[in-house]
Amino acid sequence: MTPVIHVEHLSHRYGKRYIYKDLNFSITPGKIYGLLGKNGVGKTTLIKILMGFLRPVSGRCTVFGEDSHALTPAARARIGLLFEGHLAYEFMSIRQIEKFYAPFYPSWDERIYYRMVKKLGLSPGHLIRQMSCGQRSQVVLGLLMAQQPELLLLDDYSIGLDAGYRRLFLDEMRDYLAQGNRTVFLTSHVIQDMENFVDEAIFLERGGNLMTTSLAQFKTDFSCFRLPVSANGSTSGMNREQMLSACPMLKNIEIHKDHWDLFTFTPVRELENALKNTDIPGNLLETIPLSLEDAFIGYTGRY
Amino acid sequence: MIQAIFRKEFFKIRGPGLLVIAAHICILLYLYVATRRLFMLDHPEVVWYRVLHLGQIHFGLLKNIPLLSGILIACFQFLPEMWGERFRLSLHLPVPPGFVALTHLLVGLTVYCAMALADLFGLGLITGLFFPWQGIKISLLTALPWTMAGAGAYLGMALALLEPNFRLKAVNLLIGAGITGLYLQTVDPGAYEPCLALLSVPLGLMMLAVLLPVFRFRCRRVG
Amino acid sequence: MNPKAQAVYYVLVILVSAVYLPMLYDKIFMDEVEKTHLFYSPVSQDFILMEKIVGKVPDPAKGFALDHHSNQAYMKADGTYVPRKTFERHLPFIYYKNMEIRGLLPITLNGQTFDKITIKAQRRVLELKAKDLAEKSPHVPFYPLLESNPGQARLVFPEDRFRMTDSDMEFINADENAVDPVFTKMYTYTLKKKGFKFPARSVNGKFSVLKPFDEGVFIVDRDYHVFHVKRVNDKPEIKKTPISPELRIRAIQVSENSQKKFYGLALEGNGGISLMSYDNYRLIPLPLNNFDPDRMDLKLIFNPLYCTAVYSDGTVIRAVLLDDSFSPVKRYEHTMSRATATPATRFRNLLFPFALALGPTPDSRYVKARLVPGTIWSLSGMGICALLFAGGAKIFTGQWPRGMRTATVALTGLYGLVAMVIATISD
Repeated sequence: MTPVIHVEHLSHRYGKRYIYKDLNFSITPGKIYGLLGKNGVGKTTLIKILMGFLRPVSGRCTVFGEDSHALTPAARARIGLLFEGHLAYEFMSIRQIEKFYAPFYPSWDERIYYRMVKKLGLSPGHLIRQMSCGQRSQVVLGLLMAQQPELLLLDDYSIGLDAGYRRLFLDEMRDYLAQGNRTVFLTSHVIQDMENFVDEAIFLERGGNLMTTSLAQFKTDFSCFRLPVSANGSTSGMNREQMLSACPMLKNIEIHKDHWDLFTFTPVRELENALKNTDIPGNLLETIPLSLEDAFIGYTGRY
Repeated sequence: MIQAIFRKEFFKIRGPGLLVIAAHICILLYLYVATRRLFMLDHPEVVWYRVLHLGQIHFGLLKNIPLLSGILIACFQFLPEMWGERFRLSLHLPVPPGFVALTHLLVGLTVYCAMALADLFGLGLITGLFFPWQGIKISLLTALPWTMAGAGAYLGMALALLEPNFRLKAVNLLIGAGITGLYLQTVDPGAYEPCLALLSVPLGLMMLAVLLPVFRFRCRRVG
Repeated sequence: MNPKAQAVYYVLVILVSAVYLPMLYDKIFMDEVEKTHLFYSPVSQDFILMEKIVGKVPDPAKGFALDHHSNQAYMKADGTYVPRKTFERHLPFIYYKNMEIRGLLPITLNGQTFDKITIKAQRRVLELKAKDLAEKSPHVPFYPLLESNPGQARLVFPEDRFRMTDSDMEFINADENAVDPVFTKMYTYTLKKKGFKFPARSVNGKFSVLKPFDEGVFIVDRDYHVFHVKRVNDKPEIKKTPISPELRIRAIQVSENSQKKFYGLALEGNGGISLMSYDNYRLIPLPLNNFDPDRMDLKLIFNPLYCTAVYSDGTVIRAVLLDDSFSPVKRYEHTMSRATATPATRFRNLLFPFALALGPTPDSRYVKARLVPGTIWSLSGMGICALLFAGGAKIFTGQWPRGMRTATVALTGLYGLVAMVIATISD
């Protein structure tokens, strides 16, 4: 199946600092992809590159088979793009902005737009700049939906939205996806919203390390084991980096006053053995149940 | 689609644009009062001598008004687009970026030209009340390069505002100032007449040159 | 589209640089030197001049600079420098006020004695500047016809002005800002009766009340006949002059003077210049060699003994001493110091391959756009710029620049260098 988005050996830097080096992934049609990562890993940069607002230092990105920095108008007509912060022309009213976008998109359906904004209970003459962030997000999403794009790119849709509007947003998304053969590629900070929503999660780390998995799989495979500090007396001289080096299966370690939390995709037995090799009593490891958010923070680190 | 962009731009600049129009009307009214006063203070034939023979400009106030208007229209039009980089919204529309940029410029220049023509018409009308058609002609020939300076200022500001790189913004401001300065030399009234057609060439070039910062804004790299 | 937009942008950068960089250079390094003043001295019976020396000031000139700036020099035709006071003593008809203060008046020259009153009464200067010609100046073709018999000492502007239409001499009343049909009809009728053929080619006069009396205007008709039109007691007084239409009179510089010898200077179609006398408008040709009215300014200086015609372009100043019958007696030609090439001029030539100038010129009040080419030195400057650009790009970016860019710098020198440096930054 031809990928909707294909990223090949992508590198980009700001000044001398590389955001990615040799980033590779593909997105197939009909699925929801969540690009997850901490602030500053380059999620928005990636969206900008995909939409041609940035040209990468090297590598190639294609969207619908076209180079992302030279997307034809026809390709752009198939893409609904939500800019970070629900960017909109705020000097326009609900009606005016619909009238502005409509002529550009052949499949434009104003009924979808008005159905969505109707929920806000605002008059069509209401100005966008006089709306709350949540209300604005509904208008912007309405514009994207009315466009009926094949690919939706949502850059940090959750920013500034309270739980109610986030839920509303996701509900609308589900309705949109129900029409079939639609692809969504989104970035978000709110990991719990992604649960039961995204088909595939792309974890992006600083430096461009990338892991693609389903969230269910991630939750199942990723574990946290707690090591009490009192039992760790013999390794009191060992710091975090030395521990990570001694136990390469560890993804992350969070150091607390009286315990260390060790995060890994590896079964507990393998970890115990590795710890024993460093003279740490691995049998004292306690399995800690993780929510998706805990697992995400454990995977990406807290800072 | 052009209509849609025109409509969007209209919504954006109608408020501040109305203020500018009101200011222009006030200035024209003042010009009428000032010209009338010239004739109240002196014999008409002496005023004619001073204005038509010695080259006194009775509408000197208008020299920098088009310049200011051009700058203001560009700011009203492009600052909201640059605020939060909202121009990306228009540049993501399924039309070529050159089309988007030129349509935006067309809107700005249409608004500017409407104001400038109203100024010239007002000037012609006021001058015509007190002077023969030779006076109207020389007044319009004097004010026309100032009007072109306003168009240059508009395009220069667009060039600077749309450029994403700060160093190049400064360069573009210099280019805009340089081109604008060509039309604002202190010379005899009507002295620009033989080269007005030639002086429209830099304005045409500027209009095309504005596409470069737009492409740079769109892709951040041009090559 | 991108390469086109880029190309246009860099053309714009080159254009702005080519206008402003030379202008800036001139403001900083170049001295604006006015033209040399050249006279004929009735004392030394030779030409004498005053000019600002550009470049190195000769030692003899420095020696006489005690009372003035050392680069302001006073030089006789034989090349010797004199102090300012000596210079003034050589020109008693010009500096007669200073001469009087110094007790040197009356003065006896050629056996005649001249006091202040005589000098003042017989001095006269007629001037014709290239940029004042009608087609070189944005004047409004709308003229006053002063009352030649005002019945008082002071001249006043009439309440109307006239313009020449295709069929009428049309008067507009200033109080009404409307055509005055009576005057229009009266003057048009009289003109036609005298054989005037519309439309008029030029209207010539001194349109000022700051003159001793009014001589009306001289209007050249379609067939190059010259008509002398006056307003006397509000009635037209029109004469068809005997000036031959074959001369195709282009302009008449009228200057009323109480001596009432000459109406002024008449410029002919072939560039010849004549004095128009009160003797039935007789034209007295002036024997000026190499005079080009479109490039040169002419000054005709009358004093109690001589008449000197002095004319100059931007580089060379020439003078002819004329006798009573306006035949040439003596000629002099001098290359003005302002034309001297200085190190700043040479460096300017090296720096700028050409310059774009926009504005009035010494011979036109109209704004003109001009391409001022460089000299042979500019070629070296263009080469240096291209080398600097290629070398600089290699050093700072590690790569040789694109051939097109180097070629742009090579062809447009410093301006291209500015444009291509901007291009490199924007990359």
